[in-house]
Amino acid sequence: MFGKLWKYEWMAMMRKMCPVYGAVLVISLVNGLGIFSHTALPADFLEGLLALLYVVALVVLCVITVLAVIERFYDGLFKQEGYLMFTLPVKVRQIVASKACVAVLMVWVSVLAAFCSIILLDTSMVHGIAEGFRGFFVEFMEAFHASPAETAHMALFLTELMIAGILWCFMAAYHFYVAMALGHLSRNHRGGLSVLWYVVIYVAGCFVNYAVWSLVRWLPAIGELFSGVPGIHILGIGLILYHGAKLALYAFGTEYILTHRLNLE
Amino acid sequence: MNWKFTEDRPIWVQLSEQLSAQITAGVYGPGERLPSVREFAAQAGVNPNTMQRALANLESQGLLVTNRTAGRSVTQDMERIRTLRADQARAQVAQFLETMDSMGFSRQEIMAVLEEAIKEEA
Amino acid sequence: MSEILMTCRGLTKRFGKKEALSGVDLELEAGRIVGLLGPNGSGKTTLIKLANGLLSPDGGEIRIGGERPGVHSKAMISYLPDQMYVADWMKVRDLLAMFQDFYADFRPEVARELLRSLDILPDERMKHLSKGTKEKVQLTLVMSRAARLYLLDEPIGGVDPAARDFILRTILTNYSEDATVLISTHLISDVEQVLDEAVFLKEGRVVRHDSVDDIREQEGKSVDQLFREVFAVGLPGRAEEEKGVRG
Repeated sequence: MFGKLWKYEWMAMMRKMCPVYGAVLVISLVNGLGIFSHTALPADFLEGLLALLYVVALVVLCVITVLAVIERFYDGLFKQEGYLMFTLPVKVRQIVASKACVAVLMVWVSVLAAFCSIILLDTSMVHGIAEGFRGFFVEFMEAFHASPAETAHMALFLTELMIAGILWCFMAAYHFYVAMALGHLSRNHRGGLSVLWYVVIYVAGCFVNYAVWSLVRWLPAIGELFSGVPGIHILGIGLILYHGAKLALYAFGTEYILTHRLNLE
Repeated sequence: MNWKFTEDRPIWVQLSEQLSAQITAGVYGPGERLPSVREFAAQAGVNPNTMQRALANLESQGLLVTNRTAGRSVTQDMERIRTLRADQARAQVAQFLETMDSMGFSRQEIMAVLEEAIKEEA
Repeated sequence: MSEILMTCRGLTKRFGKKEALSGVDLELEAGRIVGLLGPNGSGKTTLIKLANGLLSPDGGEIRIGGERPGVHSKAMISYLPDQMYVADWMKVRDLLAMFQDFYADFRPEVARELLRSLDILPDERMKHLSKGTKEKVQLTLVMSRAARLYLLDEPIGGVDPAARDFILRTILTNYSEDATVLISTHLISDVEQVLDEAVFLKEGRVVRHDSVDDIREQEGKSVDQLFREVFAVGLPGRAEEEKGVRG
């Protein structure tokens, strides 16, 4: 069932996003090829205009990406489409998770689209990027030969950071979701209250961050944990646990509200 | 086929009345198979349980018979149909006479009016 | 007595200060066509949404097949909302595939046959169809499921007589034998003939739940006439009001 939910969510999401990706790529291609450089208009003016257009396109891409995450959840569950979603014989958890997976993947596709557009802008960059990757790999192998154990720990640490990063992406999506679920509990001003809840949760998260950070700084015993080789893994795993815990909390809250307190008026 | 229902009585009663009228009129001939309850109900635009009740009623009157393999069909007992037909005619006439009585017609006048009407029709 | 498909006990739902449903007790048996009758705002839609799990009760409980609304009940119920709920950009064909994907009891051949009888092509996009045709597609999807309980919210509201006959005929010929159909409406005369039972809902309370035959036998009048009496109290000029409601 999850796969089927995922399929329909992905179709709906890409219907929305593909035109945006297409527009960004076309604009950067036009910029990169300098198609209009032979027109009668002054070159400076035209270049400036195209560059501005490109920046606007990137900003629009960012904004639409975030809005799409919100809209697919809010309109997809609390408006007409919700009548269908919530009467399907599937668990609420699966519905929300399918939306979150599609949202995170879509954000990555957006990042990829932005990256591609930069490359289209100046194709010579491909060479530089390839060089960069090659250099990193060479350095990594050299370091590995010099001190294998430490480099392996570093690689492991990077993997931990990547996992934490992925969890952060999901946590960010569920942060939107739980805020909207909380906002929907009230009868009126659901949109406004969702925004308010988002900010409240954000501020609460900042306090927790600050508290944890203070604890590490003021208790030398804890601070010492983060030194040396074991320290980096404590940091990496700590980040995974921290984002994982937040994610679990948001996911549980969203699921609980949508299962036990749903009100589609 | 047209089905008309009035407001005051249960629909199954009216259904079985109209059905038995159709049987005596030969719309459904002796031994003819009837559609399934569901199909019949959809044709008449009524609830299948209502149709079931009407058909069961006709069955208890001996107008319909249920065969395990062939479903429900009209009885082949011509005598039964003839009796019913005569009953229906008598009921109609009784009602007609009652109305004419209340309008102050004598029996002779009624006969005259009837004969004239039949002549005109022909 | 046959199996009970839906049970409400003291079911209560509030919207703000207003009580939309107040302590509703109701049992629906299998194999019945039941009319949920009441004027607009009497709580019909609220009751149906509670049965679907689209609303959460504030008091009492509702059970479908013995369980509270959840995955189990949603697999049993085929629901026709009082508005469009399918994505506009999808083709009719996509919707059939979607229902087949999610509902084990979906009968694609029934759906295709119904669409053919309506001259609706599977390749048509929903947004290119008229409002009436969209509604018929939705009814087709809902009635093509071999569900145990059909909850139809105002299926004949605002349609012409031909469409109404099609809708009622579709319901009559397609619901499965042991299923129960709950039809909510304020247009009683249009559905009276197809009903086994009538549930009168007035200001969030069940004021009468009887078989249609019993009502006719006991009262000597149709459900429609009785409905007008029950809901007309203290409402002068109700004929005009009703016309307004029908619109």
